[in-house]
Formats: sequence, C-alpha cells, structure tokens
Amino acid sequence: MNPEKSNYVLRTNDLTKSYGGIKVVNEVCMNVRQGDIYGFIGKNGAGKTTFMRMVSGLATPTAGSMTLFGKTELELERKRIGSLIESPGVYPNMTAKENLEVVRRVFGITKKHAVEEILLLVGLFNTSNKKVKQFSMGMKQRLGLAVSLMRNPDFLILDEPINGLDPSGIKEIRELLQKLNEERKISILISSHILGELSKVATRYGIIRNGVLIEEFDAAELNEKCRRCQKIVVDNTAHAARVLEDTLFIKNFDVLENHVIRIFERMDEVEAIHRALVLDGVGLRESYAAGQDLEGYFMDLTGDEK
Amino acid sequence: MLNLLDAEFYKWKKSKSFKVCSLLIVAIVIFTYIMIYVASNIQDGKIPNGTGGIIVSSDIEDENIIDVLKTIGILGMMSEILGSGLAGIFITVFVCIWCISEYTNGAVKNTAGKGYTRTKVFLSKYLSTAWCTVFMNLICIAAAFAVGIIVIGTSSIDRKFLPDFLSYVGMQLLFGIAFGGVVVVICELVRNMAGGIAICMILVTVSTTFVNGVDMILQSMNMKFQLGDYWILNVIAKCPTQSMDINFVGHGIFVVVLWIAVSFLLGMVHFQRKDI
Repeated sequence: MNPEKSNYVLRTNDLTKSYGGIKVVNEVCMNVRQGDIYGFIGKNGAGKTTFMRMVSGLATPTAGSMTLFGKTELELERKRIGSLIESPGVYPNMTAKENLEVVRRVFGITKKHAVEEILLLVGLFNTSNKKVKQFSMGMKQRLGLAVSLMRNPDFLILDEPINGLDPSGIKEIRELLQKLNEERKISILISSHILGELSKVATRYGIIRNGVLIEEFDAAELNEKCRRCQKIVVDNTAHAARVLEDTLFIKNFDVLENHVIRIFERMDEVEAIHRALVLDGVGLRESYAAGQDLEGYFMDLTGDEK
Repeated sequence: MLNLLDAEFYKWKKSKSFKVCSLLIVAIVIFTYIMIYVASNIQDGKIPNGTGGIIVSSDIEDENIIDVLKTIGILGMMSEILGSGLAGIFITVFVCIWCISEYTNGAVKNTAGKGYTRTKVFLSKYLSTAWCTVFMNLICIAAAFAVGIIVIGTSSIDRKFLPDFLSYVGMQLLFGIAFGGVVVVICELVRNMAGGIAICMILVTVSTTFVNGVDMILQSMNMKFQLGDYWILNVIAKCPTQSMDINFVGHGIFVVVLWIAVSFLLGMVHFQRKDI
C-alpha cells in the first residue's frame, strides 16, 4: 500500500452530485488526513450535507471518485465510519438504551455493557425509561452521536452535531470530540455554522460555496491568513494591485471579493499607501486595520458582509 | 445478515404498532361474530330490527342466522374474514408503519452505507415483514377459530376438518407473505407514511372489484386469460376451504412466487439506486 495514500482517511477526486442537471456538489477534491478534525464550512445550501451523504454511502455520486483509508472498496471500509447526517436516525417510541441496543445488534457488537458505556460517554446514562420522543433536541443530538460511536469508528462524519445544544452542551461535545481525536485517534469531518466553536477544535478547514470547494487549509494557515492587516476597499483591485507592487514594492497582500485588498506589510506606512493609490487614480473607498477570526475570514471569502 | 435480522426482531418485539394492529384484528373478528349474534336475536324477535345499524332481511326469516353460520362452518367464517380484507387492512397499516418509519425516523441511515450492501438491508426488512404478516395472519386465524368455537360450536369439526384447515391456513399464510411483499414495495417506492397507507388502502379495498371488472370485459371479448387468477387478493378470496385440489395449490404457489419475485426485485432495485 502506498504510504502516501494510507495517511488519508478520505480523499475525493472531482466528486460531483447533480440533481436535475444542477450540480449541488461540483468536482470537490477534499483530503482528510488521519488524525484531522476537519471543519467543513459553508452557507446553507452550499453542498455540505450532500457531500457528507455521498461519503457516508447514502447518496450515489454523479461523477468523480473517492477513497476511504486509501482504499476503493468503499462498502467494506464504511464499516470503519460512524456518521450523524442531518437529523439523528432514532426510533422515537424507544428509549435511548433500546435505540442503542438495536444498533448494537445491527453491528453484532458482543461487548458487555457496550450500550451503557456509550450512554455514559455522551451524558445520557440517566434517561432510563424516557422515550426519545420526549427528548429535547440536544438530547436527540447526543443520542445520534452515541449511535455514530457505537462501532468505535476510525472516522466520524458529523453534520452540524451541536445544533440545538445549549452552551454547556456545546462545550461538552467539543471536549468529547477532542478527547476522541486525541485518545482514540478518531479522525473527524465536522460541519457547523457556529464557526467560533469550530475554530476551537478543527485542525484543518474546507470552505465550500455553491458546491465548489474553494479553499482548504490547516489551522496554522488560517492563523496566518487571519493575521493583522490593513484592509482597503478600492474601485479597481487590479489597478490597486499594480500600484502596490510596482510603485510601493509591496508583495505581501491578497485580493478578496467585493474589491477588498488585505496588506500584510508596512502597515505603519498607511498614509503613504493611501497617497500612492489616490495619486495613481485608484478610487479608495475604505481603509482600516483588521485582524480576523474564522468567521470574518469566511465572510470575506464568500463575499458576505459581517 | 443475521445481525440485521436480529435487530429487526428486536424492533418487532418492541413495536407498539404491531401489538395495536394485532389487537384490532382480534377485535374485528369478535365484532364480526357479535354482529351475527345480534342479527340472530333480531331474527328471533328478541331485539328490534335495525338495532346497532343491523337490518335483517325478511327473505331469511325461516332460517336463523346462527344455523346458517353452522352450515358455513368455522372455516367458512375464516374465509369470509380473510377474503373480505378486514384483517388485511390492519396488516397493511402495520406493514406501512413498519417499513416507512425507517425513512421518516431516519433510522435507515444506521444500516445503509454502514458496511452492509443495500441488497442485504432490503432483504432483512423484507424477511422481517414476511414474519410479521405470518404472525398477524395466525392471530387472525386463531381468533376466528376460537370465537367460532364459542359461537358456532364444534358441529362443523369432523374428520375432514383438520386436513382442510391445515391446507387452507397454509395457503393463506403464503398468500399473506406475497401480499406483504407487495405492500413493502409500495412503501419503498413512496417512502411517505400518508401516501403509502392511502395507496395500500385503495389496493386492499378496491383492487379485487377492479380486477373482477376487468375480467368481465375480458370474458366479453372471449379471452381465456383472467387477471383475477393472478392478482394476489383475488386468489386469497377464491381460496377454497374444503377439498382443496392440487391444481389450486400449484397455481396458488405460482402466484405467491410470482408476487414475491416481482415485489422483491422491484423494491431491491429501487432501494439500491435511490438516494437516502
């Protein structure tokens, strides 16, 4: 086996899903390394859930391919995956224990007290005879997580697992995921809208927009991208970029959506930068010092205002 | 595969809808006999005609309904209950809940795409449904027999009763499995609780009449082919209670195999191809 391939739990190659001619996932090439907590970010309808459903085997790709744990025999390798896609798949007229008992039997788990251990892990041990239909949203999410963990997977796929949880519940799940990643070496692909929370756990990120994976980067790269900068909003980014490079000899900058340029050097010479741009005929609309978090970076990348 | 079946049987044991539908089947059997008992009392003048909505025709004044019942016998009553679709309605409702709730609850996500092929997942659901329909039919038959003994008595039980009973029950159980398969495939195609139950109810209540109508048209065109010989509900209704001949048994088994094959293949292909 190629050692390079074995370092990845998931690799997709131009994975595509179309519905009625519309590509909801468009040639996505994602790489989730062993040990990653991969934060998958995108707006509603961007294609996150559809992508995760394809990886989990719930939807068939229209085009493209993927490997799981370096292998193409996906049905076999999916035994090593646990997933929580959209809503938890549980029976409302059964208790938490009964639901997990069903899952235990499906997977042929013979370990004694396997169900009790998982209930304890996700904080549902004391639900006793309460039926799932009486659970809060957060409790159902925890049960969904418990179902995904029953088989002691090597790779977890979690679609917005902290939906409906209160702040203490979010903290518990975050700590649980970190523990699973560190102690059990479980790789995790997790999507969430709560970017602040995601930035606390993720080691790698992928941003999807309109079905296209527009960027993939590590947490260290994100810190680099979100570092302090001077943000200027101009009327013509190409003209402004020429001025920065040719007149001011500034190389360390990037151009974003909505006429935004971020300058990462010589930020103490802002007046000189402004003067050079204006004298060369660049329309300068805004200029301010900025340092970003994941949310700000995501908004800039997708062209949304904060 | 055995693990999937183990899980299915665990769910069956915990299933409230199974218990409710089974009780309703027993209730409908008892209700059928109660109606006849009330009609008998109307005939004897003990209660006014029209009591409880039951009107006894004056054409059968000379013969008491209970006596007629004794002539029909326990197997005859069983045939009326099973052939009329009364029990079939509750079996159908249960099968719809049993199959479609996997989609409405999202629980199908826990088996599909988790290392089991889609064929095995569908087969486990199909087999567990077959088991449930057999069980519910047995409950219906047991209730019809027990209440029949009380109301009709043992006069219809002669030395021919046991072979007739066993052959009738055996065929009805097979027919039940085949019809259960048809309901499973409808549930798989529809994947919606209201839609699935509605379509299956129409099937149970209307299809035999429709098929009979088609057969009349075919007969008027001098065609030998009769659709009613192959539609499972019509065959259930035609199943003889006495002296079942080998031709009917052979034909019945053919129809069972036909509908099991069609329903399983159609359902499996759809389940394999459709996204969850």
